[in-house]
Amino acid sequence: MNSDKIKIKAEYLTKKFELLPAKNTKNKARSLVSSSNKEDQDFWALRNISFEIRNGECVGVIGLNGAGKSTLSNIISGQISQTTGQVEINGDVSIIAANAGMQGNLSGRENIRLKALMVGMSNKEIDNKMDDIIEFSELGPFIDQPVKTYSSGMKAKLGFSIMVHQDPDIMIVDEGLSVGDKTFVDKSRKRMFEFRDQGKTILLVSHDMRTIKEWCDRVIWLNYGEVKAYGTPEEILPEYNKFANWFKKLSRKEQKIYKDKQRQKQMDYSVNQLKKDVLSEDPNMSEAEKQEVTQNLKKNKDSHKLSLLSKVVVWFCLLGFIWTGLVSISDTRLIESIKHPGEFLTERLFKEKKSSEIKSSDVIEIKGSPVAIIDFADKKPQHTELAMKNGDQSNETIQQLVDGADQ
Amino acid sequence: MKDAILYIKEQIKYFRVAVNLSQYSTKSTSMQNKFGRLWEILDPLVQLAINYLIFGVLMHRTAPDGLPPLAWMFIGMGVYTFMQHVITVGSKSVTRQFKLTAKMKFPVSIMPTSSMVGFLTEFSIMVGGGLVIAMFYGYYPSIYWLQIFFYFPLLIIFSLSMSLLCSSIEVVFPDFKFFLNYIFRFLMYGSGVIFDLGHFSVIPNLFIQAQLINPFYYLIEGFRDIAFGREWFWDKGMFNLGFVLITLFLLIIAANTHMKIRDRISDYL
Repeated sequence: MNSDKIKIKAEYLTKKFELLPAKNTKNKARSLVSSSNKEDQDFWALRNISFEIRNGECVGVIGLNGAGKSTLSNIISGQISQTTGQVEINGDVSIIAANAGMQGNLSGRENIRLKALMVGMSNKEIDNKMDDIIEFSELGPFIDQPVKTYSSGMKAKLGFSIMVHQDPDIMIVDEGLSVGDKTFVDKSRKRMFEFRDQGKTILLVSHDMRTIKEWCDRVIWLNYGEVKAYGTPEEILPEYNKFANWFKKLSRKEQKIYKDKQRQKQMDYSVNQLKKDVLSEDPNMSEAEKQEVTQNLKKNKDSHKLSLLSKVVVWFCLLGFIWTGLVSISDTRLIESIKHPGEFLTERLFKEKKSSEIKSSDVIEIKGSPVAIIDFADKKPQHTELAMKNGDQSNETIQQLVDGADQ
Repeated sequence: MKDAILYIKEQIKYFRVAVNLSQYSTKSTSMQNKFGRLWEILDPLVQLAINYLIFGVLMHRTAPDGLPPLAWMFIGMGVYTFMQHVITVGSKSVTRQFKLTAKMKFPVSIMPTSSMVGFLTEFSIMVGGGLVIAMFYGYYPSIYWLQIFFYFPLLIIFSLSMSLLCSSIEVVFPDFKFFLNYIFRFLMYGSGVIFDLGHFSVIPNLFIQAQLINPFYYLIEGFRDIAFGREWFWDKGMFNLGFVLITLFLLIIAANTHMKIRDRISDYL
């Protein structure tokens, strides 16, 4: 087992939620164009989080409600994106949460196939695994019922069974097993231990201290968006319990004051603050390193700006299209319009092409009312027959009409 | 342009996933109905029947150049409804199914593609129906049918770029779907789908001669050329250039906005 391989590496991770007055178009568009606006109220759900998770580790994430546990697990599983910092993930991530990505109208069996297909298994592999999955899920006859009729426990069981058979490198369990009953939890636990022994990484988000203690090698304690402590459960759990007890003992008012103070900190945070924090962490950093960190923080993500070449191509395409459009409503051809652009723009625009150049039918108007439709592109004999059948005038009559008009 | 290449790469890499996704989502919706998947075939046929009744029987209208009006109309409608559905449904697919894709490991950009795959059945029934009817009128498969290898990829690329662009707009501006519906209802009449605009003397010839610059009309006419063997695509001259330019423009812009917005979709929904 190669325990040195880093599976998840997070550096200077922050997540800012913009508390937009309303999620309206103006705000969305504004946040796209420029990411900072002084009037906006920002809420930093995660502040300066750095950690490494290695191969074969089971890491617990604990904290009070609103500490950012779910935000963190969502960022790692790629459901939401971080504001600054990098997350490096080596391997496939799978998240367990009840009814994740299930289609309510399909049966359990079809959902298994759908999910497995989506992670890239072949039909043959799925056929081999299908019975195992169904047996593991303990759903029995319900497997062919639509998933929308399942209870939350059944959904969780199905979700977990599918996930453990997907063979992911990294599993995130977000309170996923709390709905299962004792026997199922025991079975899953056994399975999870097997996974750990195979060198797979498990990230467990839970309030249940017993589970954390039993399963995890290390614990991340999140407190209002910050990592309060990161270490073995033996070190952290007593401290966390002490903190939880201390918090419980506070009067309701004091609790509120504490919470508000922490919230305010989360509101006041900014990227500059983050930079200061990062730099003060390691005072021995050389100037070059400092530069690099600052650069990294600024960069945050690829902003997907159009390169100069792309801009040129885009403008060329747009202008070219408009030009062809203009040529099409003038009486000249594309090549001539490029040869003599001046003449084209001043004299040739908004004029009809000579009728011989028009391939489709053309309406002849005499004294303002359409009289006949002439077929210039009359190639096949059946056209004429059909036209006659349909009561249209034949070519001869039209010819007569045209002659008459000329005279 | 980098984004456009990335987008195309993603489409190729995850095409299998897109097809599976589409099959299961149609299965999932059709399981609520008694006839199930039969509706995929019935729906376009009923639409064709309605239009035939109104425009073919009641209004006695004819197609230009004495072409068989029914086949002419069916092909127009097949191509047009395909584009309409891909663009309107595809643009909603990102906002609707974002949750589903986020937990799985594939890019959101294949959502419009996945919904496009679902509409291919409808497309082939309508256009195929048009081709079969054309045969009754004596337009048998000809060398012109080879043009399908030219027009079909263009149709796919154009519809997908539009649908990707609209999906990004819809994330930022959710009301856009209404405008999209109105635009398509107008274009239905403005792109020679069931009427030939040449019939109307009110419209100046200036615009009639420029019709092919409209990418929707260009594609519809292209498919009609296939069926009736009227002309090769190179006979359309500069309109080919216009179409390629606008498609390239849409593709680059759409891929770029999509990539720009992709990381933020979860914040916006």
